[in-house]
Amino acid sequence: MAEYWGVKVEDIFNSMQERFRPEGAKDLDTVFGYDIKDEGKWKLTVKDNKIKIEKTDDLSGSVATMQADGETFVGVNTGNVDATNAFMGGKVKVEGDMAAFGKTGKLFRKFVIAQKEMTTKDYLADMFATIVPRFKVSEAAGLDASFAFDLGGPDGGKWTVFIKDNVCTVTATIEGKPTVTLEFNDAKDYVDFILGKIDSQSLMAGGKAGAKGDLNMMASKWPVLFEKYKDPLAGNVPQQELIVLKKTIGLNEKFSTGPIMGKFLKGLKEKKIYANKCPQCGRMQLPPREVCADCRVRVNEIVEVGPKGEVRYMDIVYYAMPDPLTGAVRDTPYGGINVLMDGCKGNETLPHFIRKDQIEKIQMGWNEKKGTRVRPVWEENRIGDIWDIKYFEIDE
Amino acid sequence: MTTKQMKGFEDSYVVEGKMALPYTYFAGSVGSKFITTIRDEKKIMGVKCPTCNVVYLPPRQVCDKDFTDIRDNWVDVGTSGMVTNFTVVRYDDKHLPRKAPFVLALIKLDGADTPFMHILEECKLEDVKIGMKVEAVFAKETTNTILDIDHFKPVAERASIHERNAGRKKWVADAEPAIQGKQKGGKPDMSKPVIIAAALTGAATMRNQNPSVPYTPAEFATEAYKCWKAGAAMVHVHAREDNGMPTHDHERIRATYNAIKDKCPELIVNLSSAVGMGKTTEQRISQIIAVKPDMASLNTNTMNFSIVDRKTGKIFIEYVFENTFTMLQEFGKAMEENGVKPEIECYDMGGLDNTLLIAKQGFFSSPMNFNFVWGVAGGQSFRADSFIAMMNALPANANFTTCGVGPEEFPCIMQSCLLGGHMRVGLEDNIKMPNGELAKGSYELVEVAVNIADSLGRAVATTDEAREIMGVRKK
Amino acid sequence: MAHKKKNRNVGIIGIGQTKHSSHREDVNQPELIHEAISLALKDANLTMNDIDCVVHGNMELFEMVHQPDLWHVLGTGAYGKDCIRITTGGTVGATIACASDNLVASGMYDIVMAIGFEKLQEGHTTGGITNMADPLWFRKIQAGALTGSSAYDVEKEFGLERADRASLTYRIIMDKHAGLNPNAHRSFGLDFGQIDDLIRTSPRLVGNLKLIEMCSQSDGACCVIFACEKKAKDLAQTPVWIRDHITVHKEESFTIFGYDRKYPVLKTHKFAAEQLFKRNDIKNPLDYFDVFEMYDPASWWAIDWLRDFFALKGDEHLKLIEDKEIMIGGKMPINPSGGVIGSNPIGATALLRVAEAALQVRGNAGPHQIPTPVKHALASGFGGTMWTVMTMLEKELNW
Repeated sequence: MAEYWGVKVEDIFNSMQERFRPEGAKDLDTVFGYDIKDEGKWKLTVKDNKIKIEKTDDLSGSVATMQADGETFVGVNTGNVDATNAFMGGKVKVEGDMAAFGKTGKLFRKFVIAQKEMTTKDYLADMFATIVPRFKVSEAAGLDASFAFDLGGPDGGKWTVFIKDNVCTVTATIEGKPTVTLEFNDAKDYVDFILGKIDSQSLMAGGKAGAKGDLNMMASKWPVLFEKYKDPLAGNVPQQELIVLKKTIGLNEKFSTGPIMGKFLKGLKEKKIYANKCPQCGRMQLPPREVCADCRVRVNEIVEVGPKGEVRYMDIVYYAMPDPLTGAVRDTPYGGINVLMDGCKGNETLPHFIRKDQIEKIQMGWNEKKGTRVRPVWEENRIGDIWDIKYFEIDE
Repeated sequence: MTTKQMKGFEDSYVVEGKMALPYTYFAGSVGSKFITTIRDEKKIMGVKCPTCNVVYLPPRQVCDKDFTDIRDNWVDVGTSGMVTNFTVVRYDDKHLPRKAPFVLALIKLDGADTPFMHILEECKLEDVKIGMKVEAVFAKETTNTILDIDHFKPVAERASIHERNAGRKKWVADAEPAIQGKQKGGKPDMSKPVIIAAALTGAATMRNQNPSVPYTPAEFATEAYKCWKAGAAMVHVHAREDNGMPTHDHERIRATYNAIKDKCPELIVNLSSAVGMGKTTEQRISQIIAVKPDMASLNTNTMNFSIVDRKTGKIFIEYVFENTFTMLQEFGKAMEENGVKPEIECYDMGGLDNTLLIAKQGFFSSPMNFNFVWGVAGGQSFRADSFIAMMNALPANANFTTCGVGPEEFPCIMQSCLLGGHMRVGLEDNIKMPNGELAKGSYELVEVAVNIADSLGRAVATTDEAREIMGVRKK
Repeated sequence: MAHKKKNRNVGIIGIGQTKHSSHREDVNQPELIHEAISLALKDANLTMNDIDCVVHGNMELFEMVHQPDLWHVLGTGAYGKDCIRITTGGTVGATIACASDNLVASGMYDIVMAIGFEKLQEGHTTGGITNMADPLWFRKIQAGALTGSSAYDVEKEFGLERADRASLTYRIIMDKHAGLNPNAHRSFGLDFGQIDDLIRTSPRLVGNLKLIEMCSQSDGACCVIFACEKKAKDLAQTPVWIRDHITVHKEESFTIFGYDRKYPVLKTHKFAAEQLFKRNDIKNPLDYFDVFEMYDPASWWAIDWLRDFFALKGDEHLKLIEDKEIMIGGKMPINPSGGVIGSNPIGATALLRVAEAALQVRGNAGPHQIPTPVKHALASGFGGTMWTVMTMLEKELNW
């Protein structure tokens, strides 16, 4: 099995039991499938606040199955691949009930890549291999110097770093007459020193390290010549906890209707739909508005229209959006329609919803000639609100 | 609603609306560390800008004034600080963290340069003051917000010297009279409470040196009261004119004396019989006889009393301070006859010997109270062995206190306290705190003396005790 | 329309932007903004002391912070300076560019810094948008900023298959452009071979508007520094001159989806473009401009709007797309940056159009720099219910 970021696909599945959060499985009784390309299939059963994960070719009974390749799957689980991007770009697909699959997100704690060991030898190799990339040319103007490292112990070795004409080179020997030579009895101390686990004073004082030559060059110039060494394992240490605050802000508001909108809303209470007619251009405004924005004149003439009309436009809304009144999410899909009420003309259509079970029967999009005839379905208790019309339904 | 509808607006009415918006706030890396450190370590951390030297709290990623990246310059600012401003919230609203009324205070923590706002509790609304010391109380149940500091509360201040004195047994003299031998052989008598005296002005300390020097009677009264609050049992006074010049005018001196006594009846007031430079013998003693204070200074030898540059040795003002044997005798007698206890000022061993000579006449009442003065240009500088020599030369039963000019003030009073003697501080002798900053008043120097007494475990004398120790009658 | 010549010329002398991404938990709002500001100052080789006025913008209700300009001083450096906050919907970014241009042109300030930002992960965009509608009735039934109307339009005129393919072709071109732009939020590595697959599998949002066709929701900030002619010439090697800008509003109305297609609904783009080109005597904008940074909230709208901006006839706009003439290297490169589909920190989005267009004129946009010299660039903004801001940028002061 292939490894991605040092993690195998099965590592993710094998750790699921351990990462399981019972509080995320509350009231869940379902089966999910995972189909990982070239790796195999897994089946996750969630029931009674417990989970069962098994590798099987039989994914029957799954409400939703996730399909991805091994790299994407591991990447998403380890945070190396953005889950939304993978989904949007088609690298992760979900067959079946997408909404149900979304609940798997709360079932598990984050997968943490197990810390890998690095030996002193590994570190030394990495430290000197990254010298050149870490070199800051801007700090080396006019500098002609060589820094030698004589590191003892079983893992030790010798290196020289040359800086001349703005170029940095490294050799794995000590050559010529170095400007300064740093000596460590044990190379491990050098690694610890660079990783910040031990300070130079205690090394010097303990006789574990020493330097020959231009000490100032090593003490003052070396640290600015190179970017700080980054521990490749440092990425594995737990990341800083970042505080996230989730809130729903709820505000009470009061709106004054004004006489025109007031008339419209009060009309709904009486099962009447009012528009108003521009004295200049003659257009009917629905809902009625104080002025005609085209002609910039006051519009006083209230005219009753409808209550039936024709659907001129319909959108099917699939994505869930929050209700601005409660923050709760609306049921989807629903059909948003624009109805040209009898007595209106032009663009003065009234936006509202169509009865849920009739979405399929209405032509989507524009209908410039003749649309489906609809009638309002009124609420029993009307309060002077747009919801006094529950929805429109086909007028058969 | 009974609002009268305007004509044509009969259809207008008010609709109740609502808006609900979910949001997620990210504190960011710096903000998160600030919160998690409070939550987990109960520590409050700010960041320091090395460019403008400001410690910001709450911390921020960059200094908004000079754009220095300061995200890694964390400093622990401590958990206590001072209220720099506050307000009392007197209305209730669901977004507020407490039920009204409660106090929102701007608090500058000790290690921070910017104040930040928090709730102040465990304190009556009317007791909240700008400048009060407060400390953080951390929340038991944390919420990952700034309310992981639940609130701030007033720091329990160290009990005042008077509260502490009220809580201990009053000192009484041993039935067996104390003998000087007790102080000999390096075994000082530490059982007596230490009397702290504050010399408020002297004749020469002016406001341009320290703005807290009192000139008017009211200012003397305020300063004296502050010193008494801080632990002084006695003040030493050179009265001044409004313009700061030392005065021998009886009325002015009496007014000053009375103002202090009105404000602080218990306090022992010790008037100077030197008054200031160039005063005649008559001017010096007549005011003592006229006012009849609790105590007065009695100077013991004719000496140079000059102003000399301490660094270069250059003489600024040459002056001879005249205190002949006759004056010593006459002033001493006058004081004793008028019920004024002399404080015998010794500027060197010679002055002490002069006194012992004259004392043979027998008019000094017991106990005699000596003050060893160090550092006058014309007298001796403070030396630990000189101090001991002078102490050992004292008659049996005598008390000693000490004062030093300038920086000699602190070592000399500490040695005196250590050897069972008493302490005099104040702007007359020294205008600065041990750290070199100007003292906010003599009372701050009294606080230093109290701290010395505290560290040596000596009680600070009440005014009653001081009277008993020094033999000063209550008037 | 009364429109007077500028009092003095204005050039862009500094540009900075963050890397745009779906989430920036590691920084708060002022910290995010500060990243763009330091880059812009560095780009202009200025310090905050050189800035005379700060113009700050983002969307209302999107991050649920009242008076963000106050808190943001921590990052904006507006400490002790004149600071103006502007919010005009999706056009915020374009409007702060217009405002900065006007503030400098008027002679009020010599150097003005415009900052647009958004942290969409913090708030709820759709929830915020629904609050722009009439609270008495329409707020309760509208569906945020999404509609399938453009899709229906194009489908009806050119047939479902051609329309779908054109939309996805546009979408994939944007993805490829975004792939070249190191600051872009999203690039999925899409290829034209995936068109049929994506048409089939991408979830529908509204009507035939699919998830893949919709713009991203990004965290990001952009900062552009404007200077008067004298300062611009003194301070910048290649200032980018703002020739003109236009803003066109229309009636606030949500009942626009009637059937009278002659009514100029959604045609503010067309109207604005006509006015702008007429008063600048540009006969053929398609020939005149070398690059266009368009505010493209979804690929359907983008393909429909091309026709409006360039006064194209028949299916000329679809052909531009189908022939990939809108790609970098084509006749009229659209959004070499990847556009709004690639990155959409809304308050910064329209400013990013100006910034990216200016970078193209300067010739140092980076890997997404178009290969031929750019002398004339166009940027657009779209927002509110239906309104348009367009900005013309020039390499030379010779119009």
